[in-house]
Amino acid sequence: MDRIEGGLMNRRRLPFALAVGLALLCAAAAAVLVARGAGQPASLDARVQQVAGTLSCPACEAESVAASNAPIAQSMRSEIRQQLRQGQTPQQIRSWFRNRYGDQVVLLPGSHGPDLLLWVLPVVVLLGGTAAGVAVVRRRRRDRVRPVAAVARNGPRQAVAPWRLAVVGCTCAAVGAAVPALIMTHTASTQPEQATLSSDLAPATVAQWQSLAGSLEEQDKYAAAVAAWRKALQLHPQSAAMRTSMAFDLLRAGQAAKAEKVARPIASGNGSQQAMALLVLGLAQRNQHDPAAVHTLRAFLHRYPHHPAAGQVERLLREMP
Amino acid sequence: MRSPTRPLDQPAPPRRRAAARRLGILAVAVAVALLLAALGVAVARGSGDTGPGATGPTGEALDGKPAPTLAGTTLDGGHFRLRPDGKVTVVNIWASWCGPCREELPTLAQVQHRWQGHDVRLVTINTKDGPVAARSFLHRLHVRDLLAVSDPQGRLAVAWGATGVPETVVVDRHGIVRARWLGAVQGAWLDEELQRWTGSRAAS
Repeated sequence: MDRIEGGLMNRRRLPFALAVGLALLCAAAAAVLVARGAGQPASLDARVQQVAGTLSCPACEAESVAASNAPIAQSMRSEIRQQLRQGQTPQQIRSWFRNRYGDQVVLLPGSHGPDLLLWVLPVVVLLGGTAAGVAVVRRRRRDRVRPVAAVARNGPRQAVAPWRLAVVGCTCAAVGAAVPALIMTHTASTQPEQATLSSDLAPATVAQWQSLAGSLEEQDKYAAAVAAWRKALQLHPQSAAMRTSMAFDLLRAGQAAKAEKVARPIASGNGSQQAMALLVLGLAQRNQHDPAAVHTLRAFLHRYPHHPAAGQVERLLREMP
Repeated sequence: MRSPTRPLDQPAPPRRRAAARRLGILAVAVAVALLLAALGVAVARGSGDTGPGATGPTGEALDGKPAPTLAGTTLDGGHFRLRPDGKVTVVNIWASWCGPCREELPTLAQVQHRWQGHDVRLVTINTKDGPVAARSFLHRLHVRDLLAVSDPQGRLAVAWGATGVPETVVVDRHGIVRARWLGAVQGAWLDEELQRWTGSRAAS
């Protein structure tokens, strides 16, 4: 009799053990996701991307500020970076943007319409699951007190266990699915920073490469900007303007010899980029302590006395031997 | 373990119980389906599709609110800070790399000229641009006396709710944002707005 009772108890416990195990698994998964999604990532870059991922780019079609390469999205990222540095919370930053661009700039689920369902349903499912669990436990206690009545009512116990297991399991699965899904919508499109020159996110057109080079220049990443100009030039090798920009970035990246090599043919030409190329050539020569720099910079001043950089060049020439 | 008489002791569960079970499973299935539907909606929204009638975020949320801060170094090396001082202010956002700005800046210079002496001020934000490129751009367009505040990182443009360049914002005498034009501004529109907020007419 003892042996039979023990076997029955094991059968009765099995679904609960399974349900508790499932619930624990779901909780653990949720905890990991919450820690990953809501915790403070180590670097400022990652935090900028996380906030930018929750904002919609106002100049784009269906792109987050994190994913877009549009100038305004770049500016918005600068703003987010600055506000994070000043200690603003992501919530404060989002409301700063909401003040300017309206509710639609925020990509988090709202608190009305179908979005409400997303907030409420997991709670309902969780409460339902708990209620079912409590009901099952109560019935079990009652059964222990009046085993004969329970046997009469329930029939063989193993016949009852599967559907309870199904209900509890489904509940756990639904909650487990809802929690990570909610977190995912919170941190939607938290992609890594532009993946600068990686394959599938890489720009496809000359204009996109140009814009990337421009944005890299702004971040003082001149070597990367040179790489972007190279890509643009592969698509459009005739462009003296892009070649000159690349020479300028080479100069700023500390590669004066290469800058000189790129700028020289344009400087000796007669195109619209001649002024800029002469300037870059002269500065590159100066950086290499080439005495020809004085001659090149004088030629620049002689031909373009009203160029915006003329004043600075005059000052440089005065300082040179 | 089981005695052969057991099935007689324990009758099969009544039909009602079986029905309740099926109902329970159905309820769970419906809940899961609803949840999936809600997720689908959320994912669709998350990808930027804001539904019918939505035009996407614009800076229009600033209308009727106090003007954001506008301060910084100017292209001619000075410093500027916008303060409400009884003048109507036209704030224009431009860059030398922007095509439509080329047509627009001469229009703005004309409007500025027409409204001289009418408590109107034109301030421009030179966004995501270098001072050298910006100055030579203005030089080529023969635009002089343009107050341009440098905004190399684009933060001023964002603070003013810009969605692109060029954009023009009208701020009333009390420093409240009143109107906004996206793209190259039309002189007639600007004249109309200035008439409305200054209460006077420009020299024609």
